[in-house]
Amino acid sequence: MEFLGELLIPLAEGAALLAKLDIWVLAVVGVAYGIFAGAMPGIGTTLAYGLVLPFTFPMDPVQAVAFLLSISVGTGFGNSIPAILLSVPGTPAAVLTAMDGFKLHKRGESGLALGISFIAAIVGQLISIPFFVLLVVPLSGLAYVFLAPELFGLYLFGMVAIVSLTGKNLLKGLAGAAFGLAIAFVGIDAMNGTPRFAPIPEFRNGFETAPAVIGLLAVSELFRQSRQSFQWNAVIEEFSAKFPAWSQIRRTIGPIVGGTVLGTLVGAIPGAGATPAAMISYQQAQAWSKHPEEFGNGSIEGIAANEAAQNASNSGELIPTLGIAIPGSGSMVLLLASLQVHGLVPGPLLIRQTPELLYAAVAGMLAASLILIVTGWWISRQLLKIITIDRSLVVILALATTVIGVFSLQFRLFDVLTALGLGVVGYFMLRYGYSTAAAALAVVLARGFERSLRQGLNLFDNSIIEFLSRPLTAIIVGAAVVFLVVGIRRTMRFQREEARVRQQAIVEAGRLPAE
Amino acid sequence: MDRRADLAFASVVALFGALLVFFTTQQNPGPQFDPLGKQGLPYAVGTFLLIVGLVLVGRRLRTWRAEPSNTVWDEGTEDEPGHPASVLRAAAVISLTIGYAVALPIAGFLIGTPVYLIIAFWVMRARRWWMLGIVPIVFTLGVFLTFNNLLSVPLPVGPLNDLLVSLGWIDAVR
Repeated sequence: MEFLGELLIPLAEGAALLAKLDIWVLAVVGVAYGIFAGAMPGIGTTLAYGLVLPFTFPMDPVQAVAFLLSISVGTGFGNSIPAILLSVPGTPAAVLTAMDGFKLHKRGESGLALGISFIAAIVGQLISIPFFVLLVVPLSGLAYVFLAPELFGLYLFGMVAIVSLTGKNLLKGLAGAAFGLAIAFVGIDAMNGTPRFAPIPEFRNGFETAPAVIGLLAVSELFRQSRQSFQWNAVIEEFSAKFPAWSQIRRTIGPIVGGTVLGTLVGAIPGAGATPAAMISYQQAQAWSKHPEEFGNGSIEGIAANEAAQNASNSGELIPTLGIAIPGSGSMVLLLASLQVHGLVPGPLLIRQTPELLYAAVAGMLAASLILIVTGWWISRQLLKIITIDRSLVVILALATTVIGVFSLQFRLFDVLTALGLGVVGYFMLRYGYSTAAAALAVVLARGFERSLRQGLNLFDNSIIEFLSRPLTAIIVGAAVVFLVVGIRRTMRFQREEARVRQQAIVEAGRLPAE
Repeated sequence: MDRRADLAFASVVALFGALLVFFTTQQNPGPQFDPLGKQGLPYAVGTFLLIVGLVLVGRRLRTWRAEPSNTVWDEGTEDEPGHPASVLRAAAVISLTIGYAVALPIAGFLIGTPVYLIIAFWVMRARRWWMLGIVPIVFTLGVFLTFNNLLSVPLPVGPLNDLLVSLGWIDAVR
């Protein structure tokens, strides 16, 4: 009964927040902005968060969380529209929707593709909300048994996981995380209160987390995109969008349910996120389908599985983020940064100390889903005009918004220069394969990481063996090692591919005879 | 990606690590309440970056002769196909954006922003009249009203301060 209460209370409290008008207003704005960001290739959830993060600082934490999660719901829906109509996924998670959806569009079945995508996105999002509560509440309960060694293990796991699952070179990814730690060293030492690396007064308090994270994640990406001149000449043909019949929708029920479960679980793995969740779900749907030959040629089951999973992963990413303060993705790093600005300390006790954040998450996702139910079908057909907006315009306006937003934090030029300076560094990191997500995550977690290590060693009489051999710590650090091994194997696979391509190039250049 | 640039960046990583270790030695340790002290983790991170940088440099040099050209397998985020890319364009946008940020407290938002947008659009090869004329003005006014009126966040207005205060559009204290 107690367990049922722990599940029902957050859902009920979250639903109760829907009685507040400000939540609905923020949800409407968030969904609209999220759909736009999702539909514009190159923007995506992380950048969408980064651009509006400064706007969340005058809000209270409940409003900020509800607003940001509404954006996630919007991007998860918006990215499928250009995928289906133009074969251009708005975000990488919609790649497989583009593959099947565009084929349907070409056959004159645009309404079928859009309708299935619409239904799967909403159902996936709605069903994943109770899953999220079901998993996050017990997880946050573990917080009471966490001492400094366990916290250290969690922070280490978070950084290693995000590096191991992304990028082609593990060493470069780890270097990115190390760089993030180095940035956070500047300022007042957490243990003895003396300044560190502070040659000028501005460095005394260190770099503010929000500008640093916005610089690494958002500004770097905008600078990278400014390399290119986007001559967007897409031709949108007229199409008829007839909502799918029940007999067609019925075929997609299994893939939607499977996609929702997989999306929630895979999304909960730090560093995994929407794209692997969608791909795994798609593969599973094909394996179980009675018509596997349709996959890749216009399969509504494929679209349903993909869309349900990537939308359910919004809830999945929240599980480690709110449960144990390990961000599940780049956008979740920004969510935590936003909470830090409000004076909340990311950590396993976050939900226990401020349960209203959990209710706000439920409210934001619920409100956004309900708004999508009412307006989503109409929006998907109107969005065509927005898709053709010049991307160069979007990039420059986004940069201007970021400068203003960061400046308005504390009206310090230093903060803006922090964001822009790290944006420049992040530009080069993106170009050459160093993980900006790991760097940003390290900036957010660094103080807790260092404090837990130093306090923990103090607690255990400076014995690193005792520190690491606590059962929970050993399990978490062991999991980090497993992820390291996964990352090493990924790196080796990419390097083998690189060697093969190099050999091929040499042969083609005629320097060596073919083997 | 260009292997020379990759090599250069790996060298920078190693150099950063070395500098981090060096500057850590310059820090006053202060009172020490734990075995690592405030220098422990910086030493570890600096050493790690130095080693990683050298390993990446060594890896690149080891395969230097075997590679047929300076363009190698891309480990970073690639440019999107079909759209011309230019590092000079990125450099120009970065410089403009930094200049805009530095000028903001002096020129103010209402003057600095449209100027920045027009020049940046031009750099991005936008030539349509509505992009160079209407968008900067609409954006500037829209953001100003949003921050000033909706969010109650006063943006700097620079030399227009006295005029706008006398018109009653903004508060006197800024």
